[in-house]
Amino acid sequence: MEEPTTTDNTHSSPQIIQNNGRFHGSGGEFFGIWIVNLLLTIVTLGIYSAWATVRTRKYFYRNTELAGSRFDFHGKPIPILIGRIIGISLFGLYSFSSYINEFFSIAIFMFVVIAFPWLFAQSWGFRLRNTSWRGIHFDFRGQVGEIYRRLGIYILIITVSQGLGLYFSLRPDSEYIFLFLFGSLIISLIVYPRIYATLIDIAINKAYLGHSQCHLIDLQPEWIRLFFKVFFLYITLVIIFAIGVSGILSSAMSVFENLQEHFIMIVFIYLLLVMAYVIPVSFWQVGKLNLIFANTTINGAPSNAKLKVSEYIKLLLTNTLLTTLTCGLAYPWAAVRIARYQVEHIGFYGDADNFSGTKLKDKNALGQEVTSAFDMEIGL
Amino acid sequence: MKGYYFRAGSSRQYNAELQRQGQQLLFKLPDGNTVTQPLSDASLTPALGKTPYRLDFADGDSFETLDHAAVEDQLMSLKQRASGFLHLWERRSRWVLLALLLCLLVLAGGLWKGSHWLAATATPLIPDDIVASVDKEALKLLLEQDAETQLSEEQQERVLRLQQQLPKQPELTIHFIKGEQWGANALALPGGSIIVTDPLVTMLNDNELLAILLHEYAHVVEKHGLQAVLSGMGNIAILSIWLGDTSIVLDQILVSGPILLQQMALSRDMEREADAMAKVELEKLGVSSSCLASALEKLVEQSGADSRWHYLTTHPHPDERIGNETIQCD
Repeated sequence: MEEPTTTDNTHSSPQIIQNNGRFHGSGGEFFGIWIVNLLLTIVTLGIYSAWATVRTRKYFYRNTELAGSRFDFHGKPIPILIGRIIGISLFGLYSFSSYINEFFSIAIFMFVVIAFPWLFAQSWGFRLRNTSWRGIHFDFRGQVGEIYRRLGIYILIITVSQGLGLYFSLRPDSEYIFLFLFGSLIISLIVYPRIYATLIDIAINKAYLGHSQCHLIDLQPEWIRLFFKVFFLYITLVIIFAIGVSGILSSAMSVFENLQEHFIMIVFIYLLLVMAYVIPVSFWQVGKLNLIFANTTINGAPSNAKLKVSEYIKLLLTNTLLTTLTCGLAYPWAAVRIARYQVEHIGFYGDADNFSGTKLKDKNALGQEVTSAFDMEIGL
Repeated sequence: MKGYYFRAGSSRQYNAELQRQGQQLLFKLPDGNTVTQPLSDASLTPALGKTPYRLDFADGDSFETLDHAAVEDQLMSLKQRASGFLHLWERRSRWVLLALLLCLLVLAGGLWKGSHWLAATATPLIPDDIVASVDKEALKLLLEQDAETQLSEEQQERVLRLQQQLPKQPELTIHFIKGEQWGANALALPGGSIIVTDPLVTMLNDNELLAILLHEYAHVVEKHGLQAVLSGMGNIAILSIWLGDTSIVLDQILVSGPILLQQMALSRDMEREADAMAKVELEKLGVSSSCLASALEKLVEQSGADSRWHYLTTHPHPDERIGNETIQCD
């Protein structure tokens, strides 16, 4: 649940006022909204999901308070529904054609990769223009051309390595396959953090609250460091997990006789798996939000974020366990807890009264839904 | 009623008090000024949980208040859309409970029978050339994973001769593999390819082999492989609606577990169906239906299978499949 924490920044002012975020939603209340959304989505065979998205987002935005005022979300369901249908159809075509014709499915993937800068601008623009605070709308004025210029080289690299991937997948016996796999891992490690850093840079520096532009300092080295920290943490945990599980399994067959012991073994493996997920995700989320909000100013007024990894791990761990034990029923409480933690650890110094702007509407949700169907959202 | 007033185009927040006078809304601001807005120019945001109500005016001004009771008392004449009904539903515990029960009912029904039923309905609708190309890909993969057959020409011909006794439609193609990984086994793909391993052919007599071929023939007729794939996709769709918002780990644990169990149950049902059909076809050919049991018994002996974990197997328990009939098959 990352929605409520978009961009909360403000204007310079002589007196320094610390404005902290506050979150007013509750798990019990959100449960009602969530379950009704779910039922209507099932009954309408998914059509209602667009309305459900709007209602959920409104619930989280309107419960997010900054400097005494709430955010709001103004997106309309129909554009989201249309975008979603196109996104899911493209993804369906992509998945299905991989059984029939690999070239066709690669072509769809390439199309989405090449269209990505445009989709990104659409998607982020939709999100910002439909977010308001104190009657002022956010805006995104990034130019698609600039995004292409700054991401072009990376897109080219990904396109070429995907092309090679296709070549090798058709010749699995090739002696170069391991060389290729290793190479593509290295390329990903080099390219993806840079793409991410560039996107965040554009996303924040071209974001406006009314007439006031946000400024984020250049953080590329920090993003790369964070990316590698999380990546190696993840790899280490996966190795520990694999050693742990194989140790358990090799002793399991002889030692564990009855069902109860098998059950304990499964629970233990599950806990290991959850830790291998929770720890890197916490480092990433906390690192990301702290990096962005500790380095952004809007007309000289700095925002700040004070999230702590240890607290986040505790939160995410209990959330995951609760949600699993209740087969998903505790999800609304989990979502509210995460939103509350994020919102209440982000704020800004400055006067909230000095922004000006006009109302904006963005009715095109295509970018958002396509990037979301292909899991390419940057998730701010 | 108290709240915050915002002028169009500015983020300045005024503590304001709203009074309704007939068709006019009066806002008293702290600096002593009063703003008047005609009620007809106001639109009220729909109610949502305990979030504030907001009045938006035609000139761009807006008013935000947490005084739900006062808004619902004085301003409800303003347009409230269908979401008013949703708001009521979301806040009444009995209605919420009803929604929960209905969700669980649909979910359980969908997983238990729904996706299988959908798959069985959709399977015949899938065009033959798509089935054929799925078949081709799967066959390629299977043949790559195993070694070439070591069967003599005569033995292969023996199987192909038995194939002549099978019903002519749908057309079947038999492929032989050595069976390094599979042992004595046979496998049917929905497009009509049947894969037979060497030990199966050498181990069974003609009638037993015929029984196994008929069992596989039944899988082809019913397109069981395709049904299994489609029902798996259906299950993923159902569960991802339920768990779509939750985390990746949950997806893995909560989605793959039930799907695996359901797929195995489905697979056992399909095996039973194929066994039954094979027996009927055997009788038609004047061969004892116990030849299937005889073949299965040999396969069990060879693999030493012991399935204590009934729910974790793709085939019904051998005892169930072989049954208590006296086996006569020469």
